Amino acid sequence: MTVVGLGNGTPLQARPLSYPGGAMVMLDHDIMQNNVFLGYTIDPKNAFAYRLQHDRDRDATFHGVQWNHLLKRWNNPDSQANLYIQSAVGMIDLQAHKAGSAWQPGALTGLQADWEDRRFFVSYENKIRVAEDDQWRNFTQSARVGVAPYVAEFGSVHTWLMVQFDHRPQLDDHVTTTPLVRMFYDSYLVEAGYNIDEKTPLVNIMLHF
Amino acid sequence: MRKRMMMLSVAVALMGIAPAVQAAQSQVIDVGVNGMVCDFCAQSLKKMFGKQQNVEKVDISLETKKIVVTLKPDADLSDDVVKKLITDSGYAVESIARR
Repeated sequence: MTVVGLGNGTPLQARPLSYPGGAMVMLDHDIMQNNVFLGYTIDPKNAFAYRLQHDRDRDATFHGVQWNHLLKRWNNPDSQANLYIQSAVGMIDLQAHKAGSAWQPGALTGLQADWEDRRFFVSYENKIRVAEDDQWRNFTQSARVGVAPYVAEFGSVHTWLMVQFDHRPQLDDHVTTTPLVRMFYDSYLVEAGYNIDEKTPLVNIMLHF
Repeated sequence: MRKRMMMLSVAVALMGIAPAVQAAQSQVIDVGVNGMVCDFCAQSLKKMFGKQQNVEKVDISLETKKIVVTLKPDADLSDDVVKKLITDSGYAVESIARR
């Protein structure tokens, strides 16, 4: 399964891993960044991906290789919970705001946890970004709560109403709120929301192959 | 005499066909699965079982927490393989029954 996505560790990936041999594509846009993520799952606990992250405020772009690892999963009769670690290393193009050498190494890492049943969903994610450039370095965290207005059977269109809370110390509004709708059908997932504090849309698209 | 010969021929022909008809029946495996609450994620089950040459089709129900695997005629899929496909998809097997 291939996933493509972009962002500052958010939005939360619906499924950082797929089945062995599966590919994922995710594209997203949030209050600070755009992400592209092209992933491939090599075994039930590990996926690797190309990650592109464009920070619009800094006009800086990270190109790297990301590793998603499933630390623990709990499969209960009526629910599932997961704990992942996600890490990426690569190069940052800081051309826009730094004269001379525009590239420097960078990395990011963080944890993602989620629990869901067929009606309710909660998740949490954090990310640390490191590089020589102090403007690139930061720590962010996000949490989501969601509810399914209707419980759908396999093969139907599924809809979730969610609220995402982002804590980004570098923003004037450290904590922002984004109500959003998540819909998925078959191997296609779409999220659309609006950050009511930063007045910025959130859009996320995921495809599984 | 001719009528008897014809009936005998038909009987012999049916005896030849009957085993083939019996062997064409497909085995069905009912699997109880834990953790199967998300359709988007459960698509992996369809893809994993769909890659198996012995599998005719897979029906998944989030409501009953079961998947029903219909095999091709004369085909088999061991419990070990079924368990591996389900755990590789990210779930846990609760029960397996065959019919």
